[in-house]
Amino acid sequence: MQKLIKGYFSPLLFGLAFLTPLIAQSLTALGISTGTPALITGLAIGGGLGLMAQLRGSWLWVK
Amino acid sequence: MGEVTAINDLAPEDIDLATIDLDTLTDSELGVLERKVASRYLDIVPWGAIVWAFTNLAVWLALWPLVFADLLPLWLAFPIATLNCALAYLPSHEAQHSIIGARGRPLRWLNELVGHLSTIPLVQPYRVLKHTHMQHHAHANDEQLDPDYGVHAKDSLDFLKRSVLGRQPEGKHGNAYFETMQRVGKAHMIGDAIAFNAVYLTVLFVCAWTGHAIEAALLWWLPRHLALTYIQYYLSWAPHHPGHEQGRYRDTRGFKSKAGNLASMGMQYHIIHHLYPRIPLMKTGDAYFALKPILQKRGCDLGTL
Repeated sequence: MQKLIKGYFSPLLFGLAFLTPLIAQSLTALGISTGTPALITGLAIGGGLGLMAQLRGSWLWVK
Repeated sequence: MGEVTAINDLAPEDIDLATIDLDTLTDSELGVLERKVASRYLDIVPWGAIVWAFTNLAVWLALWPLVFADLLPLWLAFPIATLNCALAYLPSHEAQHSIIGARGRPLRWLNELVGHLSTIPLVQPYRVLKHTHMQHHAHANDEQLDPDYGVHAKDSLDFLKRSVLGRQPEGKHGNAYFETMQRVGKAHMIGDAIAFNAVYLTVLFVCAWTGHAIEAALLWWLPRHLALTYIQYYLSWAPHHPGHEQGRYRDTRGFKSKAGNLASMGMQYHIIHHLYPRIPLMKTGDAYFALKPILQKRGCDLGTL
C-alpha cells in the first residue's frame, strides 16, 4: 500500500500524467510547432522534468 | 491588593485604558486588565467568515462548469480561482480555534463543516491543519517544535526562495507537518492528507488526459501554488518576522502592511490572534487598538501600527 501511495504521489508520475499533456496542449494552443508531435515534445519535457524531480528531489534542480 | 480588587470590579465594557495609569499597575493587575479588555471580543460568532467560507468554495466550484461549458473565459477564471484559493484558508482557521462553535456548543457542527470544506481548493485537510496549527501556537518560533518555522527568512526574497524550495518533493516543509503529527500522536490523520492529495492528483490527471490540462492548471494547480505562497507570506512569515524570540508577548508582532489590511488578510493584528486565539479575525483590529497601551507596556513589537 505504501509503495502504491508513493508511486501515485511521485514526481515522475506527475510529470508523465499531468505535465506531459499540459505541455502538449499548451504548445498546440499557442501554435508552437517543434517538428515532432506535441505529445512527444510534452513527454520529453514533462517526463524529463518528472525524472529529474524524482532523482534530485526537486523540480528546480536546486534544493 | 486594593488595586487588584478595583480592577477586578471593573466591567469589561467600562474600561477605558486612557484613564488608567498603567505604570502604577503590577504585572498581575496588568494581566487582569488585559484579559478584561480582550473579553469584549470573545464569544462572538463570526458569521462573516462563515458566509465567506461557503461563498468562496461555491464560486471556485462554479468556475469549473462555467469554463468547461465556455461560459467563462479561462483568462478571467484564473485570477478568480487564485483569489478563491488565497481566501480558502482563513475561515478554516477560525474553525481550527473553535471560534464558530466550541465542543459542546450548538454551532459545533457548523464549526467543523467550515473547517473541513473551506480548505478544499488548497488541498489541505482540516484535522492536519488544526493539530499542526495548535503546535505552532504552543511553540511559535521554536526551530524544533514550530511546524511553520520553515518559512522563517531574512527578507521577502529569501522567504520566496524558502517557500518554493520547501514545496519540492524533498522539501523540508512537508516533513515538518508529518513529524508534528507523529509527535502529537495524530499520525493516523495523515490519511486525510493522502486522501485529499489523491483526489487532487486524480482530478488533474483525468482533466489532462481528456484534453483539459490547461483548464486544470489554471483553475487549481497554479492558483493553489500562488495562494500557498501568499498565505505563507502573510500568515506565517510577515507576522512573525524576524522570529528570533519566543514568549507570549514576543513571538509575533503588529506591523503596518504596505499592501493594506485587506490585502494582508488582517494579519497586521496577528499579535492579538496569538494572545487571544479565540477572538474572530474580523475583531482583531478593534481588539488591537483597545489593547494597544497594554501591548506597548508589555514591550511588544508593534512597528508603526
